[in-house]
Amino acid sequence: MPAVQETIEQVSAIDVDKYKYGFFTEIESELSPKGLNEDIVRYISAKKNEPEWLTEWRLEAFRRWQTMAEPTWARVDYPPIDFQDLHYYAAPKKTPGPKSLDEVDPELLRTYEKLGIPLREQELLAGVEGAAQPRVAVDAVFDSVSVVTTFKKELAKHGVIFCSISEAVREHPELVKKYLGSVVPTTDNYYATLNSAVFSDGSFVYIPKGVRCPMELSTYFRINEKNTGQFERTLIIADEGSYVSYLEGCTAPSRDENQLHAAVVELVALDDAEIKYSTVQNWYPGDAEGKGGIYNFVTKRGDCRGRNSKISWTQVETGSAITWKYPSCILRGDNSRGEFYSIAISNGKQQVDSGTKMIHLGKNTTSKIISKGIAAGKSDNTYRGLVQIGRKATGARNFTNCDSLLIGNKCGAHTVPYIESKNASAVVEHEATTSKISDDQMFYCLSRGLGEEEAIALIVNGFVRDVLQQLPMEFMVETQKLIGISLEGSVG
Amino acid sequence: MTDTMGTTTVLRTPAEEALLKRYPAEKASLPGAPAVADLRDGAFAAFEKAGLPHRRVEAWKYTDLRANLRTIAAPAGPPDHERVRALPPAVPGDGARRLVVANGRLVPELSDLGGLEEGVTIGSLAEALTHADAEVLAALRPIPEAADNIALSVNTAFMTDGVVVRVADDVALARPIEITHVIDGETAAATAVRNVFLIGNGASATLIETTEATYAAAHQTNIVSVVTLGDEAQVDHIRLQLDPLEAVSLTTLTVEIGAKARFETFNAALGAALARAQVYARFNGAGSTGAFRGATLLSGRRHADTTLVVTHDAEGCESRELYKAVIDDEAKSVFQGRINVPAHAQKTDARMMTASLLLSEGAEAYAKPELEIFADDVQCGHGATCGALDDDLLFYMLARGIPKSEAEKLLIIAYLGEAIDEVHNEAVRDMLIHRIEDWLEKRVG
Repeated sequence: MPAVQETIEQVSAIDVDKYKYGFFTEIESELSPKGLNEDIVRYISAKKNEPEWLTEWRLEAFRRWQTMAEPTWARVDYPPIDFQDLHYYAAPKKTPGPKSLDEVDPELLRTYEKLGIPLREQELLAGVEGAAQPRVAVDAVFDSVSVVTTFKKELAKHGVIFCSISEAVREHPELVKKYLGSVVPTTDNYYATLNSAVFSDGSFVYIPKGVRCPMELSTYFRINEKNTGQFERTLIIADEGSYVSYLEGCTAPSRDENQLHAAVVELVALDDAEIKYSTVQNWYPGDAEGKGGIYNFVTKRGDCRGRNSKISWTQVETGSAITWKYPSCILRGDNSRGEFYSIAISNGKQQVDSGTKMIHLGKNTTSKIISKGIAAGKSDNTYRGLVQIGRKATGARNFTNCDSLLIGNKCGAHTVPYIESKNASAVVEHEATTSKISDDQMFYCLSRGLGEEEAIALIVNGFVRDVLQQLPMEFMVETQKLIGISLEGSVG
Repeated sequence: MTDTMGTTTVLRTPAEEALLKRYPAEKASLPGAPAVADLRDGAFAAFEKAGLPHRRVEAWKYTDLRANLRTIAAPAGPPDHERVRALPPAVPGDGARRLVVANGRLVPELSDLGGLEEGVTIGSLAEALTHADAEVLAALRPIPEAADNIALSVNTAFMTDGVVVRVADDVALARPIEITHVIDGETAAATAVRNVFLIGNGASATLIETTEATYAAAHQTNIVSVVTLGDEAQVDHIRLQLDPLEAVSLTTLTVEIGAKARFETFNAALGAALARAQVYARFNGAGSTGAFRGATLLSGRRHADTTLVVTHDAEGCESRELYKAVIDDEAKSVFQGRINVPAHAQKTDARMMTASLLLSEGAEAYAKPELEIFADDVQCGHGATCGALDDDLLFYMLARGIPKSEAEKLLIIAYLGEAIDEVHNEAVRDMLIHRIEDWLEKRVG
């Protein structure tokens, strides 16, 4: 896209609404009755034709959830959520698991087109936007169901299973049964337990032994219906010696009321396997006054179960009214490696409480945490992280760096790291800084003719470069644009 | 992440039961005018409601007082003056004016109260409480950072005595004031002491506090010191915690700092089975500097906690925090530090650093250095490290013919030296180095 066009589009976007994914698709949906009880849990399970064991699994989680209390330790503030005032299942009516793209409701396809998500394989194969464009397989989740998964056939040639989790329950029950809930147990925490009871759809990935997944896999989550919560469940298993890079994107319509999104993501890396998980979280953040927006209460955890395995989380958080999210790594296998790269940008009245947990259990395990928080407007941005070195984690190594940048003096940046070491040979290092954009840097940019907002975007891009470099190429470009958008209006 | 909501439990531990019984029984004999009694009642009600803090209370996450405090020792009886007098000075050669608080009461006979400099008054807290001294009563109200601190509440409810030191404006104290807290007695005893230091505008003082005992017993001390600094005042505060290795030591320092003032504190945690040193400081005036440092030496199964909250409530203040721990055997070290910078505290410059050195397989270190920042024009940072002695450094020394134990000793002293070297008082510095050397000797032997 030529630069001029881009500028015009950006400027016109500011006038109306900075959030360009805020539209709503008129589509007939099937909704579960409002509220949550055992019947609703059974309803969801029945909708998905689930086997008996999974229904029971859900019910057990639901019973457990009823005994739990909502966590209040995070530095976020919101009115109490009425969990009975939600539809726990919403599905577009006309798509009971279409076999091919032609059967998908054209309204849905137009939605994804508008969001810029490529669902047509041939378009990508033709390489319309330049020959070097990499191919990405997409699983599109719309409210509570997966509408389509692309490139399935080609992936199957390599033995890679990439489908919605509902399909996996039907087609690969042995894998689901073995791994579901093995990283995030149903008893884990309030929202994970809720998710276990009512999860609707999400992606399932299995990479067989020794396979390097031939393309990037991605899931695109869209909340459309109002008064619904989205509870997706993603499970990725990388068998011995395999590699996969997985991307996740999400958007929602702009609405005045808050919507709940409580997902669970489980990653399992066996011996010598590597999983790279990247997220660009762009849920509707609410308006400037803090009205509306998504409550993003997510449990993401990776288990480096095998020797020499590696899990890397990269996240760019620009959306959501409230983010409560701590992608973690359990470094169980000897020599396993965990990484966490994060950019969290908050503006308006957004509240972010995010970070990671690195649990070192195996010998010579290493972890690296790079977190960049940027707070503007009246937002609050908290990094909360745990580095835990177990008694047997001889030779473990951690490096943590979290920097915060404040733009304006009505926002807050907080750092709450927890460091727990039980092994003398482990080395843990943590450093954090908080500062504002230096006057020298601003002056330098302004004197070279950049506008104030442009200058901030440029400096901020430099500030987050360490993390951006970890993102797959197509995300990097989008993220750089996103950072520009999120910070507009933060000056003055 | 599991749910960490602090829910109130109805079940009381034996220690809680004991404290609940003790207060109504002792209330009448505790010193103070009616206003003080109200203050005590309020503080005790706070304890009654919350009980002893446990790991679900975020500020006590790593030091579970409810689980670790099994019994409450009886209140300390009158001390034997001769035994207390025979105790060698904790800091030889510091030339300090020594005030002795034995078994929770200021003992004038053992204290050096003669020839006070003009503008300095020293009195007992019990007396000030009885007369409802307005200035002292004001100083007893906890600063916001420590408002819900149970250790402080228990101290307020049970405090028997302590020292009140006033230094008038522009008076510079030549000699340090040293407060020796002693527990005398062969059986475990409990004390609750409150000291108040009111340092006027432009005044300067060095305050040394030590905690010791005549016998090794599982004493329980709860000592709170309140320091207020006027504008342009300068105070060096040093606390040497030398309690017996069986003891429980709770110390709290609350500080309010005026404008353009300088405050430094150093905490040496060398004794006690369970120790928690709390520091709550506020910068109330612009352009002040503060330094908060400490060294912890741990062996056996001991547990030491340093909890620090520094609030920059004024513009342009600078603070430096440096805490170092050496942990051997199966000991546990905890550091919790938080720097608060509200939106109006622009130009704040704060640096917090904590380091833990683990010397054995079973040693554990916990650190939680926090920043809470609402002002944009600030420079704030924190760092935390945790690990064993550097193999390269050891190798370098071994290769030069230095025996391993000697090399380790040199490295540990150098490591702690970074914090100790900043103590202005030379006698304290020397004493600390000696104590560390002793500790290291014992460790090797």
